[in-house]
Amino acid sequence: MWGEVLSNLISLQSVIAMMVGVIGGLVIGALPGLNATMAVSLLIPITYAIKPSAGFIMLMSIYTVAFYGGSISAILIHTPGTPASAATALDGYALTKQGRGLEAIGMTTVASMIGGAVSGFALLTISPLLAKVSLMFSSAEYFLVAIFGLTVIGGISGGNAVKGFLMGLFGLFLGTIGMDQITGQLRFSFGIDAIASGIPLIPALIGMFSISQVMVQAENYLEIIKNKKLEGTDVELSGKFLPTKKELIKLIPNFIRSSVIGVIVGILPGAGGDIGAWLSYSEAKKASKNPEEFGKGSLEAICASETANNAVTGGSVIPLITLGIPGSAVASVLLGGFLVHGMVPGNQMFTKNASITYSIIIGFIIANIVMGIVGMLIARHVVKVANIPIAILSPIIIVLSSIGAYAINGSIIDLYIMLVFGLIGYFMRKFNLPTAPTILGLLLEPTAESGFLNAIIQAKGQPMLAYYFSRPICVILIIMIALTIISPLIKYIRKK
Amino acid sequence: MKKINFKTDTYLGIVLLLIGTFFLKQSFQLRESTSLFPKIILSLFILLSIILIVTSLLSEVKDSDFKVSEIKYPMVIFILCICYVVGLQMIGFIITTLIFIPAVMLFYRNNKKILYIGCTLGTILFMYTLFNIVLKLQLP
Repeated sequence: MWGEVLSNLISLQSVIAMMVGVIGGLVIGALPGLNATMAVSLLIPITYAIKPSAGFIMLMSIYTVAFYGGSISAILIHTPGTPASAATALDGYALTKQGRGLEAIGMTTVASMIGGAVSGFALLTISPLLAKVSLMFSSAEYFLVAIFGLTVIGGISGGNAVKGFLMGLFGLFLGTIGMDQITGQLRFSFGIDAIASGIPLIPALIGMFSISQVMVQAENYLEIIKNKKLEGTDVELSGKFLPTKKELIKLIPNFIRSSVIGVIVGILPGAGGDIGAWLSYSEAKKASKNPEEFGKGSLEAICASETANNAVTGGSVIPLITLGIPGSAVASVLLGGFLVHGMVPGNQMFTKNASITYSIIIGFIIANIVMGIVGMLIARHVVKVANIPIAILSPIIIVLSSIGAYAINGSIIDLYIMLVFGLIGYFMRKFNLPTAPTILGLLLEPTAESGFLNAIIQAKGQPMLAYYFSRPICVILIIMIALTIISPLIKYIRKK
Repeated sequence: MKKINFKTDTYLGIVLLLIGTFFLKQSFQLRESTSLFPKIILSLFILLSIILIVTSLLSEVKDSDFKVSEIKYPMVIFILCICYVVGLQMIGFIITTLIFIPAVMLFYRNNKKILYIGCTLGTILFMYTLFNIVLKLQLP
């Protein structure tokens, strides 16, 4: 198996895929207005024509490098390219104003590289163990895990928990549309052939994330047509770049703590890079000998937030490939990608598909290191990318989205689905309804429903509550679900 | 008695409630085994939309108002997208994209003519090579 892994990794496809992922991720991350979720969903169709190991190495490279690219914009022009870089923007931009912008970028480069690589190792070591746990899973457990994923992502994403849960339910409902798996009965299709076999996942994803994003950007029309150049992008950087050995050694506890925080936050379904970054930031501040510097240009702060947000990437893939529960919004999109390639999360990933899975994980670790190296070479120039006018970006994104959505099945109907979901996605954002739970619901509906129905069969006539409580893993899951639903409730009552 | 104001979220909740009820009614037309899961989901959906209505009625925080003027430009983009898809269906990739990219750039009042030609040709060439030659996937 390791021979296969090695040959996968050194194949031309994988190397090109990794370079595309790293450079693409840098550019997309640096561009304010584009984010990793969108990039990954756009590029899933491309993975069809190449080996799955190469394809997913590319997607995961984009995932981790996009956070790094976003931080570069955050530091230099005070505009985080991705929400996860917002914590870095604070101290990073302060350092830029002090003329130490390059130092900040150097710190980011090292920190992102370390955070990402550590999470890759966590992925490598923890996943096989967790996958064995999944062997103990039966229908009831899968049902509860699906519900757990939805409650967490509904409760944490975008503030209002009620809206989050509503959107999760909406996603589940969308998943029921089409032919029922067991009886073949058509549900909610209203005679429309296009959705008779269910809503095609990738076009819906692309529509909801990419097309809606282009529409959101159009809201700033009046600003855009002024064709302003973003301030700060012409600044010539000079001075110290990489942190010295002494500084690095002093920061080791920070690196370790932040990586661990990042990986754990990543594992928690629903919590993404931004939460990891802020949590790590506040922990670093508490542990720091110079807390007053935080917010005014502290390299420690950048180290903390950057290590954590990249550590989230690997962490979020852990529950994804072992239990099928994505640890973040991007991971949800990756889940869609895996399913479409016929790779089912769970123990299978480490037995039948082991060589592909390990190729992807090790490729991910390598990509993080490559990111660090590439960053050291070209980071200071990357920010110029932010000046690319939306006038050019918008049509290109639309073209890419459309062709990507089409290429999957060669079906024009998928494009109309993409448009419909683009519209739905746009209005959801207008009304502050989070989109991630909907996609997750759509993805997890088969798991949830079959788990639910099969559990009834397996209970063999026992009352369902008794059945669920008789299984230890189920009890743990039920407690966790209850906690996730109750904690927003407590917050709400506390506010009153 | 606290002041009750109707806010965006309130209207949203009402809309969601109506949608949920509509589909719940639909689900009663299904056979029993297939309708179980949807019925549960939709019932929870209706419950939560009522909670949304109630909490937003009681909340004192001002919601962001939904202005119709805000969606004008995004709608234009959306209509352009529809035209693009229809074009792809009827005319095919190369010609439709040839028209589409400059159209959007025009919409955003980009003035550099070179960019128009460069980007359009560049994108078409890039997509063509990528999809047809490298990846061997179909183009419309």
